[in-house]
Amino acid sequence: MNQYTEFKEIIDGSIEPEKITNLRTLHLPVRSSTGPANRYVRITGVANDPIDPPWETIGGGPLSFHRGLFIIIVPQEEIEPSDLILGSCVSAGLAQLERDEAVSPADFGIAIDEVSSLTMSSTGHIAIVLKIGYKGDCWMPAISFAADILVYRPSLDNVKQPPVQGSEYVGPGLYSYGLEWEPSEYVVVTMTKRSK
Amino acid sequence: METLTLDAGSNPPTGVASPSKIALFVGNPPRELLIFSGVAIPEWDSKSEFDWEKVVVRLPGTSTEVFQWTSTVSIASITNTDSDFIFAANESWIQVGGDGRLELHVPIGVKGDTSLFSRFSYHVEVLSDPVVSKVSGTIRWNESWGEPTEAAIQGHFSMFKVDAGTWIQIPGASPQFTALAFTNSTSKPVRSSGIWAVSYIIEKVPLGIQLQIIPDLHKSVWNGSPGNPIFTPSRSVTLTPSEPMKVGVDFDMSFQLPPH
Repeated sequence: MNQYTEFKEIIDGSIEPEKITNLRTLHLPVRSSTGPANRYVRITGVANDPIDPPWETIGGGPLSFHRGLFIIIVPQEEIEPSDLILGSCVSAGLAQLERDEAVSPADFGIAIDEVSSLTMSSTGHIAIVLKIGYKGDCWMPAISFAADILVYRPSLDNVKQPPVQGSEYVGPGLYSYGLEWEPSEYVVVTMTKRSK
Repeated sequence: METLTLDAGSNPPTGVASPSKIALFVGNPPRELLIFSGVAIPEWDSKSEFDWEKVVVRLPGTSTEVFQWTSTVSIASITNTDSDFIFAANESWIQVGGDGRLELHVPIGVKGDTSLFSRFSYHVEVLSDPVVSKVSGTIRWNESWGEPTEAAIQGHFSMFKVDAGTWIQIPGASPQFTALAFTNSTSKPVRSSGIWAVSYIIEKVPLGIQLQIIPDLHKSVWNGSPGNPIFTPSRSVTLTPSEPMKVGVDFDMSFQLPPH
């Protein structure tokens, strides 16, 4: 049973870029030993969510652990919508932890339990989904994250596009369909009359 | 100090949530960069004093003794019941275990009455030298030529056999191609922007010999052009002890149709 259903916090950097701070990225051309990936992207940053969560009123009440999703949407389009994500490694940790002891029970807890997924939206924004929890009057106003992503981008390859479906490659830049040239290709023969 | 061993590479993982790994070739000559991430679950509780435990996370990868690494760990899940507390994960390091598996070592400390250090996240990068001689690359084709069968897309069958060999001239006969190394195992095909792509790796490729790399398509996993596949450009490689790996030995596949 999926227990991470009590809340969903969305830190959408594509709408509010100021919510993602310390954002750094780098891109490298690479090859992979496990698939046709040709691009590596690394993204690091801090997702900020300085809310006062409803620790008393949701789920099982003030003495229980509340579990839900924390979704980080990276502001910039680090990869193109046509890119294919072939693998990723993502880690997240506490960058800031707050606890108010004045009114809450003495017990508290804070948890980043696991990285649920890394996906790409139709506009090319990376979305990282974390499964998190908290207990008592405490919260994680900032979460640091790092993501390594392997991508296949066909435009980085030099794949020849046959001018006519079914045409045959006969040499660099040259195609023939059977014994005929593609209609858009033609040879100009210049004939000169040889003087006697 | 007590030691707790967790395993990110077992199936299912033992004491690790969302373990991940990616592998890529970088540099020239190519070296392999392995990247690991996950959330380790030590569930270490304080016995009221500042108590330490060493957590060893066995990673799903191997390396030779000589390699470079970086690692970072972060506190991910803690609880406390009304006391002063300390949670610590001050350092981490990578070493190779007795069986060649990479290991992440993390001493963690916790103090409180009671305090529970439930989880920490980790992110590790390991850069190693090639272990065996390899030739790798990608075979690509335009989707207008055809597509793999569903069984190939699911990874149940490989699409290509790729040979590394030489042409041997036999007196009085046509030259014959002899494969000195090959692979029958290629990656699952993927498609993006109308282009299909499959990667391959040939291991234990002999050094010091010029070798032709020749792919061949398994027609039983192909739904497309009935002609004979053509792989271009023609590729040859020579591996040496100082350069035992070549990546990016790529091919474009098209098809030969009978003239009309």
